[in-house]
Amino acid sequence: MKKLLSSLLIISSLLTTGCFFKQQSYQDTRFLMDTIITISVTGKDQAAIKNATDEAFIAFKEVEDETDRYKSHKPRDLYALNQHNGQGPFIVGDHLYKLLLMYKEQPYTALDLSLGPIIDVWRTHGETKTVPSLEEIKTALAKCGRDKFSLDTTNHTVTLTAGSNLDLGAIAKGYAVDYAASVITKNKAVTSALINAGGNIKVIGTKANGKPWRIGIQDPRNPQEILGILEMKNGQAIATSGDYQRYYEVNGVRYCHILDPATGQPARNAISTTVVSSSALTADFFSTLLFVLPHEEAISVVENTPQIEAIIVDSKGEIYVSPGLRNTFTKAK
Amino acid sequence: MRKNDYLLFVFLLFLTGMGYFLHSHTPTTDAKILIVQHGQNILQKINLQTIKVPTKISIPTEHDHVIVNIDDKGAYVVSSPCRDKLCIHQGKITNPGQTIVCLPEKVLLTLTATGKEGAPDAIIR
Repeated sequence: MKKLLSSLLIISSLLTTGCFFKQQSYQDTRFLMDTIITISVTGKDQAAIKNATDEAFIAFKEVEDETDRYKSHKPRDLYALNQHNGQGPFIVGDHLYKLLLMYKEQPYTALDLSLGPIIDVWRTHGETKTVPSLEEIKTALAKCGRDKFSLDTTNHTVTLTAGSNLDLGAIAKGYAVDYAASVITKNKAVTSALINAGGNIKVIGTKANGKPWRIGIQDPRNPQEILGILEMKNGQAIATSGDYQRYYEVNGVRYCHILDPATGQPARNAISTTVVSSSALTADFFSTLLFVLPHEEAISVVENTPQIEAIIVDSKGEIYVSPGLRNTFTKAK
Repeated sequence: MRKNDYLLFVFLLFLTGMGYFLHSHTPTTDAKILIVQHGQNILQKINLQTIKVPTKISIPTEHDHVIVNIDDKGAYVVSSPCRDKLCIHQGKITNPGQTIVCLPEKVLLTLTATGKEGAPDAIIR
């Protein structure tokens, strides 16, 4: 009996001090992949969840190193591949290969990873707040296109034609979020996590209070407000593309960083596109694709792609919410 | 087991239940906290309720300083040595979950709220 009473006393003490049920939490923020990444983790053991977070950041760095086209990090990275244009097959790293293979397998032409030459033109003009001439755009566009690179699935090589240059900005962060999430979920001490990479978020597990995750979607024309709140559950990812994060203006005209491969001009069919999927890579890919496509075409893609749901703010500011999100998205008042 | 043991048992059980109930229902304050970060380092956590008059804070960066104005409602960037000035264009953040990011200067301002029911866990930008 004494043993029973002592045990009860200990449990009682633990409960009253909140130690027994209290989850540990840990958060870290780092600048990687040209954005700010915050990982918040809860779990049973402080050291273990810190370790899981550190490993997730290592995963981000791994993908960043392989997909950064502006700086050399590894012998088989994107920078090295681009330098090798016009010189035959080139063996690339695993992450880079997986991304390019996924891209080659999808049918859409409105998202093009070979836009490096035209991105560089706009980037240069962005620094001086000028607009490139049609001739400059035409010359750069001639070096772009899905046919400018090919994959050899046996030898894991990529061949770029002369003058071509790949840019994976549209999908690399989504891929990295999935990769980091897979690293975190392998750690058994983790009960829940939120990976926030700016325009890409993935949630793992459920919150300590058992309620769904609540993700606000920024109002594209009023940075102080949100469009609404989306409730998300374990394993869901969300990605947003918009014309309000990276842009410059000339004579009151906004030039955003997302380009239409057909024209070489900044896309103007939407001002914000948000996609929800179980894969952060899929969400990232489709949020950019929907941003480029004409509105009706974008809606048609959403309706015909079972693995995605979307919220699209068109160029007039009208908000489309796909049927699958109507019960989980609450518009801001 | 004697009668007193039973009484003690019931009392401890009651204490246990009360302890858990009180712990899980402790009311929390509703303060807005501004977290100021440079790179990976958290420089300051400021309870905006304590800001009685608008205040300027200066964040040293590689190129110069990012100057931020704060008051009891929120914060905004006044000046930054970055080229694009997107952090300034972003205006004032006033809602929990909102952030201001200056990528070139590696400065992050995050507004959070303690105990605020219904506040988003994150805001996608």
